[in-house]
Amino acid sequence: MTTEKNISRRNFLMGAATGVCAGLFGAMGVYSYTSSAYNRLPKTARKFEDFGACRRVKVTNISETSWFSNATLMGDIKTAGGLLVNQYTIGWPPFGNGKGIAKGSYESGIASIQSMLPGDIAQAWEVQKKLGLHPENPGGFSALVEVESLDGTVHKYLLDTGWSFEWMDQAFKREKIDQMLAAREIEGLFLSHEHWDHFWGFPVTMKYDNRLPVYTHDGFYKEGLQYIKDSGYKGNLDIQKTALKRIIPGMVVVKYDVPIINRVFGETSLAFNVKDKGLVLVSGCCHQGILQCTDYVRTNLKYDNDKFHGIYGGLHISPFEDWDPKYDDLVIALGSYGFERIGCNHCTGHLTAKKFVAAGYPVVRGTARFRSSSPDYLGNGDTIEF
Amino acid sequence: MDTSRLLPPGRCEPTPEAVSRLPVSALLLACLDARFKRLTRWQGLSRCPGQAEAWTCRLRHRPGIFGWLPQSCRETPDACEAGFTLHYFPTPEDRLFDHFSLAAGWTALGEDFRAQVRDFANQPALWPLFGLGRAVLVATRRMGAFFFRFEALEQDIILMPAGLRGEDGWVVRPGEAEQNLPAWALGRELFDVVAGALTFGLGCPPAALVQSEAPGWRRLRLADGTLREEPDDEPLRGVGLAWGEGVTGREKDLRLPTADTEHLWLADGNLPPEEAEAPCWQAHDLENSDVRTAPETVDHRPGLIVLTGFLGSGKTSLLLEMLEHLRAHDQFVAIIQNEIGATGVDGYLVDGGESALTLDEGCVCCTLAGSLSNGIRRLTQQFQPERIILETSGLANPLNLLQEQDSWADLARLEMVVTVVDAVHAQDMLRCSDIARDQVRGGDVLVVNKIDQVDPAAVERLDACLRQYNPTAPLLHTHHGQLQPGILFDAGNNANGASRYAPSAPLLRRRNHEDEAFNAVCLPQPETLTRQTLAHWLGKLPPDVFRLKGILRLADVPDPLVLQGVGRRWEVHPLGSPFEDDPFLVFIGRQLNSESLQP
Repeated sequence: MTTEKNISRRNFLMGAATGVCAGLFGAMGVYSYTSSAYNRLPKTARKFEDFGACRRVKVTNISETSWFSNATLMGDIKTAGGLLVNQYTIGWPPFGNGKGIAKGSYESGIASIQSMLPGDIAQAWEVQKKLGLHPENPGGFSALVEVESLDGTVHKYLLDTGWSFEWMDQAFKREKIDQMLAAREIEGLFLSHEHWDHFWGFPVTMKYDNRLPVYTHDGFYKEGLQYIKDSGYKGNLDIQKTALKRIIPGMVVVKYDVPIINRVFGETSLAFNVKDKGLVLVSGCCHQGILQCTDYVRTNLKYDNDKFHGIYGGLHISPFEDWDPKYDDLVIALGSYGFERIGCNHCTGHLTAKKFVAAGYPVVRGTARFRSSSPDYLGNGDTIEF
Repeated sequence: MDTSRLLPPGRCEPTPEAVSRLPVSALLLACLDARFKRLTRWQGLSRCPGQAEAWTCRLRHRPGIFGWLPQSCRETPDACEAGFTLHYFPTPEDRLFDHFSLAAGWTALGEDFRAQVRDFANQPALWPLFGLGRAVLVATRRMGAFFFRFEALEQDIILMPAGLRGEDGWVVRPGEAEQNLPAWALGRELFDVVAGALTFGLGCPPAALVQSEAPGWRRLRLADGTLREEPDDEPLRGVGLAWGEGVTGREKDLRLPTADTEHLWLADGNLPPEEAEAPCWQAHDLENSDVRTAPETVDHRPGLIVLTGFLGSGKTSLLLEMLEHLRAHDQFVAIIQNEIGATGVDGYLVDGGESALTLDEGCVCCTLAGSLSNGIRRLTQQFQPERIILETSGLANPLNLLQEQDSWADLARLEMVVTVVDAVHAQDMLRCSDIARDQVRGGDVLVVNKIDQVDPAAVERLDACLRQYNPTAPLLHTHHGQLQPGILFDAGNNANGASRYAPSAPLLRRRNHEDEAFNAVCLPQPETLTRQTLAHWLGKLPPDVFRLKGILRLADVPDPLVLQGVGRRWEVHPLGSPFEDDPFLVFIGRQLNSESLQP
């Protein structure tokens, strides 16, 4: 009897001609996915939901400098306990209570300024300069979004409302947002998420117009909802619960349910269909990452030429680190979508913005004015049009 | 139990889609905590295109990729339920490769397998080939309780009665197993990580655990290639975890439907030892993790990355890449820069602001015990960084640094040494400088920079030369320090540098810059200097000047300029930020004296 050796299956599979294996396994057949374990369909069909079109979208950066010293901000977060600490407890203005880092609360903070909101935000901020941590650090993010409909009407909206009362009031005046609000020209304020640098400047908007429609979503915690009331809001608060919300033809709000740092949940982005051009995405931070953003939009919406036309915002690939670091590369990922106009804000990172430019992407550069530090991205006072 | 971190706080009832999304949301939250990632040996996650709730991930101890695929979601009268299948995709080098079926093995050897795996949610042919088991997640209507269970065969076996012959032997002997996959153990690894993330997000460990078993099955490969299932002694195993209130009385949500044996443990009792170490029992309280079961979580020291490399190799460019990458991932990084010569240039180039510390007191490898420890101590007290990158001076010998790590090991945890090598000058420097050789020897990862300035054959020769000094470190090629930093961190994680730094290594003092007669001379910039006079001056410098740096104000250029030079090549470009001090130049080379350097 011969004792024939065993062949390593790896060697067998690698050595055997592809044709042999294909024949072999083809004959083995029945590797079907229709066993009882598998209920899902192999491919998700695109839904092509038609949300109309608009003619033009223009975004003006009222302020994109969320804060001025990253070391100070990150240092505060780390000292307070890290990325999972509730933002309202850190002790930053406008919710400082004078007790020092990580001993804050919404209630103790608002108590010191409640009576001054929103009529005297300057005084409120002066009070907080003494009670809050590092009061010179806050800036804020806020953008003016102008949408021209197909019939020629221009609709104005605010995306987010910044952080520092002082800084944001200055920025609002510089861009004449204060006048637009007072004249009731701004048709709505979209609060993308509850983060300090996008939302805590809410009283500044309230000072000029406390009745405009305000759009939030079901990711806001009770502190945020209370702050809206305590800031003197008297209008209709819209709390989005569904993934998609239509605003005007060609404009929707997309909601992403995703946990974000420092006890914040969910973020919304604005999506537009610009006639004859295609889809435009506008977001503040895009914490969900552009992969998820573009995926969702592509699966669900119908837009002209079936094309991604433009994007503006804080561009990150994904909140996760990829297990294959080659794919953790925003420069490559962004290139694959074929955007025709790209605007970054500071969240994107200097080097990344530079690399986009170096890669020849259609990046709209800025002017580095009003304390924005690099022309490689759209800074304070800069605009982009789609 | 707090559900508001995992589900929208403005809703009091879950939807089936939200439950389907819960595992990935829980992981997103948990991965914000580095201790959780260390506890679960987490490497990273990629969502499948077009299917946000389907994803692949890697755990450090396994070369292959795990997959998580939602299959179904539905509402029942009192709950929302989502079903998933779990998968594992081996690499050809994986020990587990031979345990999979032949068709699976053949697929795994395919050229585009990795791309298929990333997209596996859209590749149904892969699902049964690489399937491990099933999981179900249930959230009760008022979100008072969550139930999470997993089921898989202990061993998923496919027997081949006829066997399979190759050309000169048996690939599978008749009657032996074509597939013998430890589906239960492997699937538990993935399930346990997700369960740990749920504990983390909910802020409490499970209230109950149920183990159950049911009759299992195996499959036979028939002569025509089809499969026939038949009952087997090999059991189907199940584990169920419950969080929240009122879990007793709902054991049916936790056990296998066909269970013939079942054990229930309540969390306040004694858990079976093999279960007690799972992350779901610890992830809610990482601060007080038991140092015996989870030593990685109690280490509060920042990670130290040492960035070394000879003069002008491009360390600062790489440092900038690493900084931006880490910041984009919300990691707090502080920098220590060591500049030999009285004035630090790099501090102005690196936008670190207050979290960059320049150690100007000579070379860190010489004044080690004092300045580095103090530097780390100052940074950790002021900023509590998660990581510190030490950019050493170009003349620092990292082996000196590492041999004396006892003086700073309690302050920082050495992660890796990255050595940047200048492709243009490296061969010369390796020939004549012990320090350069030690920098290569001491690296966990070698980054060969400026490859655009040499031809490919020279790069190959250099690689071979580097390999002589360091046979094991990964070699990465870049120009302008442009490297996807994730690749660098990945290479560093996989490099095995630990043994090099054992305290028992011989305590020979390695050569330092004074031994090799390197020194630095710092000169103020002459008041009226123009581009032309600068070029003339630098053109007649003695050959011993190897490196040149400075910040200049030229008469014919309005803004401050940075001067960088290596060997005979130099260039200026705008500093890009304000500069209030006096302009200066630093010359670094062998036995320089200021007279020979005057313009």
